[in-house]
Amino acid sequence: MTTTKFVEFRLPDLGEGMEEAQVIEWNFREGDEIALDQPFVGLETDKAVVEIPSPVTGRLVKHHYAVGDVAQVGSVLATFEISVAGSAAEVLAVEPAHTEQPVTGHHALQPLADHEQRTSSINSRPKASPAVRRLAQELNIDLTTLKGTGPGGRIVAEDVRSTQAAPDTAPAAPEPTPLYKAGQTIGDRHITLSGASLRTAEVMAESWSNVAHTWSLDEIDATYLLEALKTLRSRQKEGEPPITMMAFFMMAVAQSLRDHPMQNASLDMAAKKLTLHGRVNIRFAVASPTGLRVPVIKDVDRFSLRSIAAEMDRLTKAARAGTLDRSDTQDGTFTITNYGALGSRFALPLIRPPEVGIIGFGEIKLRPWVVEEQVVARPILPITTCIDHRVLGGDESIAGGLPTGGFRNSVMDRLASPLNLLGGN
Amino acid sequence: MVVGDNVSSVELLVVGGGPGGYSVAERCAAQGMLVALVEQSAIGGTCLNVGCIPSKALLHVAEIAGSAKEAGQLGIDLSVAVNMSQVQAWMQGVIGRLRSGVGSRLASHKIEVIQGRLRFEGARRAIVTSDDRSPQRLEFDQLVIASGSRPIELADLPVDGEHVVDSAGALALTELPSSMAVVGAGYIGVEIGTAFAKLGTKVTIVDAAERILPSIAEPLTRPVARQLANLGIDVILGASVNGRTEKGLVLIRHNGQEEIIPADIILSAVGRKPNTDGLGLDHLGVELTPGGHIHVDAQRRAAPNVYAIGDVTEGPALAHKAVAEADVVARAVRGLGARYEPACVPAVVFSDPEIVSVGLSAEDAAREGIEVGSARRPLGASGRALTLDRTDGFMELIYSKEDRTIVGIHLVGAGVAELAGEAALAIEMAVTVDDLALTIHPHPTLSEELPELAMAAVAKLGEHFPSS
Repeated sequence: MTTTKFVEFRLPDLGEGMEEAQVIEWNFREGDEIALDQPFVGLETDKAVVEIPSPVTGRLVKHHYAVGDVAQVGSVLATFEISVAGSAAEVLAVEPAHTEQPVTGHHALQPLADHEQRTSSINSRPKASPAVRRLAQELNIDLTTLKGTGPGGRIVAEDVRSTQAAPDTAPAAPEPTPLYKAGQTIGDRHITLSGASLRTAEVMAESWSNVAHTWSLDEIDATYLLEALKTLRSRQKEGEPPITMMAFFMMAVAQSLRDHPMQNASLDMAAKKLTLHGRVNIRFAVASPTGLRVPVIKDVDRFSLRSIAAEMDRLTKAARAGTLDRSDTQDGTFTITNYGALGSRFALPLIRPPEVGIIGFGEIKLRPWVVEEQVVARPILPITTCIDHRVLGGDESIAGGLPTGGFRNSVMDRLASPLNLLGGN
Repeated sequence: MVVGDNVSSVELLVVGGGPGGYSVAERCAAQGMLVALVEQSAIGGTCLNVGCIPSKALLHVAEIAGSAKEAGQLGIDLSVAVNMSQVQAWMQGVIGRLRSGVGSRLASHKIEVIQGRLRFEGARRAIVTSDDRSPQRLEFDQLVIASGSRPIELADLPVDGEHVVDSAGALALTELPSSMAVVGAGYIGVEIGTAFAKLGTKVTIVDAAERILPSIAEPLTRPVARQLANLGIDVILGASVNGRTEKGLVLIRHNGQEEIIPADIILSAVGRKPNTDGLGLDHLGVELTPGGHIHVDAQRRAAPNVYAIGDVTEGPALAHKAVAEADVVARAVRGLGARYEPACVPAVVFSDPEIVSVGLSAEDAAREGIEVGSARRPLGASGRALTLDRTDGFMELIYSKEDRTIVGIHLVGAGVAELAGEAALAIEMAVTVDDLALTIHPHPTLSEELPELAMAAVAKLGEHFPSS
């Protein structure tokens, strides 16, 4: 009277801080019978070759790694099947006499309070509360690498935050890498500005000193915009680059720039000349593991929404992978900034000279909105448009400067009524 | 927004409306995701409709009925007559209230709930069919499979809903059977068998194993075995089932002798198996374990856009484990780094007396190479247990000798189930025996036994307080 049970064998810590080992030989094939303590696999660490004895008498049912693969400590190396005399209620389920149907023996759920399952992680886990562990998981920090400063060596939230590691380059959760990785020591650190970071500092200083920034902070009801996004997304086929809200922004701004060329211009004060560009090339920011990158989508006003999404997808991936071509970052004529992705509502972005405008989009959130004298909750998109007041005067109603002819209204109208936007292309 | 007839497109599709499914649906919808949930039968799943909730409701009723005997010893004469259909009506009322609570939470989060049987047709497509509606097609970006588990049915003992019932059938009986044979001495068989015995049914529990509750450490099961005998329940171990006759359940003992256990009703409670068949999972690129569970990583991810939680994954088939996994998945689908890595999943058996097992046993610890000590106290030392006239049982604390943290808490006694949460918190927080000994617990409660155990541990280890 026996039942079967599966036992997962995890690669044990072989000492000396070893974290992984390479499988060099399986002594038993899948399906082979095996006795307790028979060496079943040969592993090579950077220090030695070791034979691992079988933890059970039973059958080896699965190799989880092929010869040559590298297994991490704690990962499942092999699964064994063992016979347990008269255990658990499932015994009845595996009586040979009962095999016709519908029971398939051991396919019962693991019993309540199965030892392997409920305990495997208590051993050697760092002392920390569940909330601190969650924090570490989300910041991609391995708690075993930290030294706790809490009572009795407990790792507290502060220990985790102060060691915030660089995120790995996985596509999820793109966060800009900190400029330096803080160590355990506290002291002054000096960072030499060079390359892109130095260039950014210079451009921003020039902008702040010379440009006459004039911002307009507005909001639109994004109900139809969200609906359009959802509809188009639902029609996408598998594998297509996802249509994003940013693609809509890009399209609305591009079409409005085409209609209002004053805003799509470069100012050269030395030459006292404003150049209206024939092409609409829009910059947008991408967080990459090595800092912010600002690729340019060229001729956006001629693109369909799908093409914009595809091009943004290509540029975003290239920016993250560090494979942007030089031409991908040149010849921008206008800039969009999407601080809404960071949770901001309004920001006052700075123009990148010699451009004469920038537009920023805040986070869409449900807010009170008046519709036909009723206050209702609507998804509201905050928009900041900024012009260089040295040359531009916004709409006709604003005194001074060359008229932009209603660029701002044009963007707002297109986004509030996306049918106009899509139809107008 | 209609793409074609009866096609809905959602960001997240949840398969199964049990605790795992409705939790992940709610959490994701609260973050603004467009979510649909498909349920084949009733919202709330096994736990709420035919499992934990009705069984605990029935145990409460049984406790009241069973107290008559005890009351006599304390000087109160009570007579008991059980009206099972009235009991059922009350139980259904409890279930109904919980179910409508879940339903309204789903509605308030604007989650589309679709009733019917689901089958995958592609990596991002599924069809839902039902008897009273035309088929509905669904397209989804991300998927959570939370389709749960169902009772294993023995080939020799098919469940007919009349003579042979599964746990759901037993909990829905509207007449009290005069005799019941329970096949399986796991926690489901013991809980339901105990309830019917207290209501007045003659109960026999049979199992092929050599002891009851084989998944629980043996010492914890002893007070339960004694109480089963006190309640007049016959427990036959080491015997296998060989079908049934009109008279009852046919058993074969280990010595080969055949025996018939008279039974109006036979309860088949031999375990549960994951609902991973019949869904068309082959379209999704997920991998099944040898036990038929969906293989998942620490984020509960089974394929790039597919997650699985609850009884369809390995680990204890418990609602609270599914809910903890739901919390991880609700973050993972948004690209956050949460992982399912609990220090412990508390296990509670609502037997009489109740059993709580959290964290490592001394044997587990030895296997993992942790040097531990243990402290144990019988409930006879507890003032509270004496006032409840229930001194059967004990409490045990397992702690690391190296760093003084508590790694296991194991309890058996009437009313200890409510202490499981404190036990789990202590282990998750890596509380030391010193912390527990210094935490004031209220007198007179069963909980004050925990610092008593911790003080015993401190006495063995010697006093020590962290320097910082």
